[in-house]
Amino acid sequence: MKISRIMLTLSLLLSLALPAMAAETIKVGGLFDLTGATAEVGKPFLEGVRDAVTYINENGGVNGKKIDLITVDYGYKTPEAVAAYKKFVEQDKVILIEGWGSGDTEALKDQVIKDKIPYFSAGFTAHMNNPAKTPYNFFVGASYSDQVRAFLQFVKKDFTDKSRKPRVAFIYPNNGFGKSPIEAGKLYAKEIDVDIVDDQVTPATGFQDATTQLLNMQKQGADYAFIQNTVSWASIILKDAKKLGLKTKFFLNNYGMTEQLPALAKEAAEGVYGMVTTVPYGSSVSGMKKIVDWHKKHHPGDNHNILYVRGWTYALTWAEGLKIADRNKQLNGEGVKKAMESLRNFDLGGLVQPVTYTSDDHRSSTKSAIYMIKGGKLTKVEEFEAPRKKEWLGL
Amino acid sequence: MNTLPPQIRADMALFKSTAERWASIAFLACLLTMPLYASSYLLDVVNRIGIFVIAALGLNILTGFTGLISLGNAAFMAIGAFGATWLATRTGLNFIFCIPLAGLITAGLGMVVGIPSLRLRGLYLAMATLAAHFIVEFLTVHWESVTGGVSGRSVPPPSLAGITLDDDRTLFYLIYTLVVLLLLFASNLFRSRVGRAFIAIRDQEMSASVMGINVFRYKLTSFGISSFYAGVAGALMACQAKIISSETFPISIAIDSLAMIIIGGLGSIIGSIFGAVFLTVLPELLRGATTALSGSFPALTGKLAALKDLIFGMLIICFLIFEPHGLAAIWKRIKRMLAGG
Repeated sequence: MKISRIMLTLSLLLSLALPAMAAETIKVGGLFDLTGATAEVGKPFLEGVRDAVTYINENGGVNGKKIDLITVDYGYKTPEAVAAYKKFVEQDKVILIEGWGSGDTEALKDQVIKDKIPYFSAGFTAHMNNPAKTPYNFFVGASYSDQVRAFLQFVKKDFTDKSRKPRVAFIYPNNGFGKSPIEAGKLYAKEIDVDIVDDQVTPATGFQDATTQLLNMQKQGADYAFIQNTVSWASIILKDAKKLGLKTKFFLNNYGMTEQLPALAKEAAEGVYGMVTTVPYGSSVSGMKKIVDWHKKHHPGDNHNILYVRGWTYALTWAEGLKIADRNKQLNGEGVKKAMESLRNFDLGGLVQPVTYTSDDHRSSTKSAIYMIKGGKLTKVEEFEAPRKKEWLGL
Repeated sequence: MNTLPPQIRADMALFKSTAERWASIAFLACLLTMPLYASSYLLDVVNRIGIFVIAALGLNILTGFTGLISLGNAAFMAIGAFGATWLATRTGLNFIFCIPLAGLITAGLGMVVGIPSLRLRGLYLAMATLAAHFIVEFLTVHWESVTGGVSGRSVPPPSLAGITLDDDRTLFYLIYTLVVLLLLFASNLFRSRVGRAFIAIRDQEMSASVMGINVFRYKLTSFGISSFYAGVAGALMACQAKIISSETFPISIAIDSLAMIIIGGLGSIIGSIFGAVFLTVLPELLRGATTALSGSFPALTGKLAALKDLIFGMLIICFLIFEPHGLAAIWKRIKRMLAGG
């Protein structure tokens, strides 16, 4: 206890000294899950954000000013995220927050409007891309709904049997994340003549076996199935599907299609498709060089993956907004929001689709890439762009 | 009461000495002025402490004083939270009245959960309460018309005399008024026949029933009172969080409540307060320390976060090894040292 008291005193003293340094640092609050339910994906994401911030600070910062990322691990417990948020706003006076999951984002979405603080979340739920409802929320990449629409476009192209409509099933956990794109998917499927034949729900808190759901789905004869879940749960479903010998073609979302998939699902991952918003680590795109060089210099022993790259894309995107706000002499929450909404096809060197935000539309992009597991490796197949319809904002 | 001999009156007194009475009043006065100078973050922590004092008190009445092990605290808090929110949104009744009403609903359901206690003891009863937790969790996800399912519900703020209580400062007064009232009620409960019956049941159930105590009736009453407290705590949590969903009351809350009363002191009212304070403040202190250290040593962020959890667990274990009767016992020792000189 004594050590933590010393550290607390030190940090108190530091925080007293910091206002003097305020002119040179930009405070960004970071809420991450390093020890909770989503820690497996939260940790590499934090590492990506943190490394990107250090990289930016070493390469000119924000027009010379350094970004001070205040990292808080809230362990996926929403009350702790809300408490940390209050500290960010009152004590640290942050002008942007890098958030994480649906729990914290939903709980704070009204508060950030009151406090005028842009809030980036690593959840891709379309509910957060309508500025009419959530003007201060942003995320980088196509929403789950747009990913499902792109998937349905692929289905339409891939299905060659002219005698009937393609049959599609949705498999998702019973929580906000799982249900996020389902309604949008069903609406779009009706529009393009694809039959949604089945909805299979898996437990939200975890499961070891999905055989029941898969057998039910088999009865409906689905040709394609979209699994709206993260990689470890998706692997269980894929392994069970292989055991049952299902002929269905499986698709995952951008939290399912990661480098861990072949490792977890082994042979069951072969031939599986998935949506990708941030490219796999090591892809040959121009933006990857700085990340790989950073890795060689600072983390030579570590394995990096899509989540790590995603962290980089987030930090690079909001750092660009900070630069614009600083040039306009509006380094505050509202100024940063306006700066983000001035981004037009901001190019991250292929790491993620170019980012565009406007004051009416926070969909950074509606394009996602479809990858397939070939020989245990993520291989690009094709890109699809979901239509950018006004009535689909927030859906 | 005034006909009792002075020794017994002294024993039953709420405050054991004038010094204790004045100290308590002074502490209360400090507490009341807190919203005037404390930051929103500090008030958030203090409000959460208040909510968990009520929840821990409720569980202590059931487990510490009556000896009925329960893992149902999270379920009862959920019933209180969703009950109050549903009442307020359906009937338009001011949330401030929905809080005690939700407490009563929870008390009723708590007594239903207590029915197995007629036949089940110890760990078997704990399993029955655990089953109650999972049933309530299932209902919060699927009974969408009441709970809003996975999207949850936003909670209409309470209002008193025209003032809307929707920020940490105003909620502080609501929460701590209830904390004081419920603390006084609990203290008085254990100076009364009902409370003594609970303790008798805990200590030696067979002898209690031989003495003429209707064991089953008092066990159900204990479940009822304990659930009322948990329901009120849940409703207050809904006020403070402003949005509740099926993810707001996981099993970890039931486990935390149990940890609070064990660390604070089973069968001790002040122990419930200590436990709630300890288990709410410790994670915040550890988090503050790791955040500060991560700022200076960014490469260690991941390892520091894991270390935080490790330290938390080890502190609890050390505690249980060196002072199994909890913080309340330590407090008694300090008081004796101060009084003895």
